Amino acid sequence: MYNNARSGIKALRSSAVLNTIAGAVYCAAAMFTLFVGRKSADSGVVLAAFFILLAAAAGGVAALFLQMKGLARARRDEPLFGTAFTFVIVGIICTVVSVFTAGTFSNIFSGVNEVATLLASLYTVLGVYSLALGFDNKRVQSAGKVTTVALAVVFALAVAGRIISVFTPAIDFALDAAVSVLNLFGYAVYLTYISRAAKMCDPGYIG
Amino acid sequence: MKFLQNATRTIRVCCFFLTVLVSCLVLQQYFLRNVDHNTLRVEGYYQEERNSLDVVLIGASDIYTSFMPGRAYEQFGFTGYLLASESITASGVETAVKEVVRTQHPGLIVIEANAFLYGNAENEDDEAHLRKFFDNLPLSRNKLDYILKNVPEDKKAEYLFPFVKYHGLWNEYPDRFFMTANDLSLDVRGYNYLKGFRTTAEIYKTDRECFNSRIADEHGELDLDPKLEKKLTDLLDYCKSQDLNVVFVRAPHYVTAETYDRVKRSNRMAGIVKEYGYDYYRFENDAVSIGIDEKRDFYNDDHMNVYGALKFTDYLASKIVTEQKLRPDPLTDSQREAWQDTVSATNQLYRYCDHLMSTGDVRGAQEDVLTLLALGDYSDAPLTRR
Repeated sequence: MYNNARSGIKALRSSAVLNTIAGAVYCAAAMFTLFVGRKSADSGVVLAAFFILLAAAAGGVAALFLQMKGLARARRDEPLFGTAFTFVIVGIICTVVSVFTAGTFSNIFSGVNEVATLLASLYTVLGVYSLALGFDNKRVQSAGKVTTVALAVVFALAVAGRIISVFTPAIDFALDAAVSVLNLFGYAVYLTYISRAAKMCDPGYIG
Repeated sequence: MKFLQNATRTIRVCCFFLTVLVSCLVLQQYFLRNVDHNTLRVEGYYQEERNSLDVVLIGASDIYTSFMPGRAYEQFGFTGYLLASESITASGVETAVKEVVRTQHPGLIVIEANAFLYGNAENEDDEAHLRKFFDNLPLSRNKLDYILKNVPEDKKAEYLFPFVKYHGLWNEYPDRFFMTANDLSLDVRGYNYLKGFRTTAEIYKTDRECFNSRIADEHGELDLDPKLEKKLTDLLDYCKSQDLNVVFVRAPHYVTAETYDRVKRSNRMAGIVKEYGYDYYRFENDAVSIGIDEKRDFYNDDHMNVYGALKFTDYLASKIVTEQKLRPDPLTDSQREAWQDTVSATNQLYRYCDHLMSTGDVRGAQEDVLTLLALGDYSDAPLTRR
C-alpha cells in the first residue's frame, strides 16, 4: 500500500539532505572566497573556490530534480503532493523570470517565488500528514501539525521583518540576519519532518 | 482529517487574498499609474547598484535637461545619475537628498537651485509637481515622513497607495499601452541608459531680449520666499548634520526681463549656502563665459538643448573633478560595460537630436521605447564639440 508515496517521500528526504549539504558547501566556499580568496594571489586557490561553488550549485540543481521526481511519484497515491509539485514548477518559472529582469518586476516575481516555495513545502507536509492518517501514525500526525504551523509562522515573521526593515534602515542589516536565521530554522523543521516521514515509510517501521 | 481540511481551506483563503494583493500591486506598478519620463528617471535611479554612483544630481528639469551623465563618464570618468523630476518642490529636493543618503553614499551630491527660487511657495503645494516625484518613489521611511508631515489627511492614502488615485485610468486603455511598455521595458532591461537625461530637439526662436551677456556682474539680491528659505536652511542643516559633500548649482537659462528676478534670488541663495560652508556655482550668471550661445543652445527660456547640454556637462564635470576633487570609485568589468552602453546611447541621442534640429522636426528625446529604437540609426562614436 502507498508504494509510490513511500518511494516519493524517500526521494524528498534525499533531496532535502542534498540541498542542505549543497547549501552548507556553498556558504563555506562563499565565505572562503570573501575572506581568503581576495587576499590570496594564488590563482589555484581562487580556481578551487570557483569549482567548489560550481559543485554546490550543481548539488542544488540535483536536489531540485530529486524533489520534483519525489513529488511526481508520490502524487500517484496522494493528490496533495501533486499540488506541491505544481507550486515547485511555479517557483522555478518565477525564479527564472526574476533573475533575468530587474526592478519591481523582478521583485514581484521573487516574492511570488517565495510564496510558491512556502506552498510547495506546506502541501508536501500536508501530503505526508494525510499519509500518516492512512498509516494511523499519531507521532507523524502531530509533528505534521506542528511543522505546518511553524512554517506559516516563520514565513509571516520573515515578511514582517522585511517590511519593518524598509522603515528602519539603521537596523536593516540586523533584521535581514534575523530573517535568514528564521528561514534556516523553518528549513530545519521541514527537514526534520521529512526525515521522520521517510522513516515512517521504511518497511517494518513501528511508529 | 479535520486538521487537513482546515489547513487546506486556510491556505486557499490566504492564496486568494495574496492573489488579489499581487494583482493590485501589478496594476498599481504598471497599468493604473501615470507613467512619464519622470517615472522612468526616478525608477531607474533605484535600479542602480547600491553605493555604485560617484555623483548624484538632484533638482528639476533645469538639471535633467542640462547634464548628460554618459558624457561626464566618457570625458571625466565618474558615474552619475539625475534623481530629478519636473518642477520638483523644495520638499522633494530634501526627500531626494535623504534617499540618496539611504541608497548610494556618493562622493558628491549636486543640487540645482530651482526649487528654492520661485517668487512664492505655491509650487510646494502643486499636486501635479508633487506627484511627479513622490508617486514614483518606492515606499521608504523618507517617503512616509514626507506624507505624514505634509500631505492632508484625506489624501494620505492616495500618496501611500497611488492605486487609490489612479484606479480610474483603466478606461484610457489601449491608448496608455505605450506608457506601460516604457515602464515594463525599463524593468526588464534593468537599467536606465540615459541615467535620467531628457531633452527636446529644438532651437529656441524668440524675439525676446536675452540678458545673459550682462548678468555676469549682477550682484543684486532679492529675498527668497520665507517658506522656501526655511526649506533651504532645513536642507542645509540636514546636510551639515550628515556631513555630506554637497555643492549647489544654478544651471544656465535664457534670462529675460520676466525671469531676471530669479537671478537676484539666486545671488541671495548663494550667500545663504556659502554661510553654511558649501559652494554655490552661479552658472546662470556665467553662461556666456561657459560658451552657451543664446541663439543656438536653448530650446526654451528655461532649458538648454543638447548643444548647450554638451557644453554645460563638460564645464560642470570639469569643476566636479578639479575643484570638488572627486575621486571616482573603481568599477567592475560588468559596471564598465553597462556605462559604455550609457556613453553609446548618449552619443547616439546627441546625433539623433542634431539630425532632428537640422530638419526642424521638434520632438522630445528621452528614455522611452520609441526614442531608444530610433537611436539605432545613429553613430555612437565620441562627440566633438563644434
